[in-house]
Amino acid sequence: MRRFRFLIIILALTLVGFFLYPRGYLNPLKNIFWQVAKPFGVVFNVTFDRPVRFVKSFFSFRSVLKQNSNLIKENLELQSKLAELSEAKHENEILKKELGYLSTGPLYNLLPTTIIGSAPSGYLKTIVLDKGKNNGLVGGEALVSQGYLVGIISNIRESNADAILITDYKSLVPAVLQDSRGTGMLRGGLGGLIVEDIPLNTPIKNGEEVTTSGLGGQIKPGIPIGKVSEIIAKQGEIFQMVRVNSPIDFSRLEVLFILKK
Amino acid sequence: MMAILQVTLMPKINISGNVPNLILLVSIILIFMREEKLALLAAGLGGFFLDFYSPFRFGFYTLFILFLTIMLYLLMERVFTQINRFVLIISIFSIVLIFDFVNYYLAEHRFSTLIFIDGIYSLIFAILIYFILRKIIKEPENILI
Repeated sequence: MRRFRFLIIILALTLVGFFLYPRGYLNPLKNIFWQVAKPFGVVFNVTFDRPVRFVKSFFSFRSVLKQNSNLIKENLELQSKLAELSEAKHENEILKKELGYLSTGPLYNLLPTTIIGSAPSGYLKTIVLDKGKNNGLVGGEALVSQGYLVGIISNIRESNADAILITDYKSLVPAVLQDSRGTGMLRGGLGGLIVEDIPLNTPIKNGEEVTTSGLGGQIKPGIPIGKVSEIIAKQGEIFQMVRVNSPIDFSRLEVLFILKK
Repeated sequence: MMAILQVTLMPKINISGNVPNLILLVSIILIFMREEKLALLAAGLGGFFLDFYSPFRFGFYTLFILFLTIMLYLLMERVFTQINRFVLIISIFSIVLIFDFVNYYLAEHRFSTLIFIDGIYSLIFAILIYFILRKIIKEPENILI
């Protein structure tokens, strides 16, 4: 028994932690642990990201070539869309002035952030960011990369916070299909990003943009998520689903911003 | 330190989202090296620190890794009294599969064949860890090489 005294102590502390955890009493300790891990996270971000990406690129050479040609084509399409939208924006400003609307300042308050670590298991799509309560976070803020939604802030501590990526199975984000205006819930998981519970009579188009709907008031509306890549409608079901393709590579998240409330 | 490496370095070298658990592997290797006390210390303390970094309920990693380590120890004592490479490989692979099955089910609420990739990836890491620990722990052991 004396040989395993240390084990009994660890088990006793674990039991205490098990009961204190739901009430959030362990948050200050978790904050300290992540503060200790932060320098390691930052160093490994700088030293390991590039070599790992270089090695992985050899295995994805063919897909990179295909992706490159798709992106060139998309770039040309977007340039022509941009010209149309610039005209629409100009017209919008004139109409607002005519109707006496107040001019709108910047829509979002963006806070840059860095990933300092991830969940111990690779199956949990949770990351830890270097911003917390001290930076004005309250929980539920959207996390974006290159303008697209990548996650939602969940647990906040003093100097760091957890963010659940939208690719996590437990992530649920209210979404809307921009053209057909069908609303549903975006869920992650191994099967990819799926918008569920879309009414069956919604005329969905392949390739249409999917954005946040703002329903529930947690996340701001209009944040791009991706494009519809597949429509899934099973016979006998009253709702349909769509698979969403995000342009973001979730295994290589680098520059991230938090949309502060 | 292992817990810190697990949450900062290991996610960077994942294969299809599979990340070997260093603490589990070190505990398993130590059992095979007949360092039971060290193995239980690594499992208990490592799991305890890992719980602080985990979004799961506190205690999950401590109890689960300890449970797997103790099960392996009992298997070595009662069933596999002579250890060879085959027993080593099958044991590591099986324990990693059990560990991943539970982790994956808690994360995704279903089963996936991805855990087999992690089993193989963990085996490679286990070999590296074994050679590192052999240099550190100089007492004789029963693994036939």
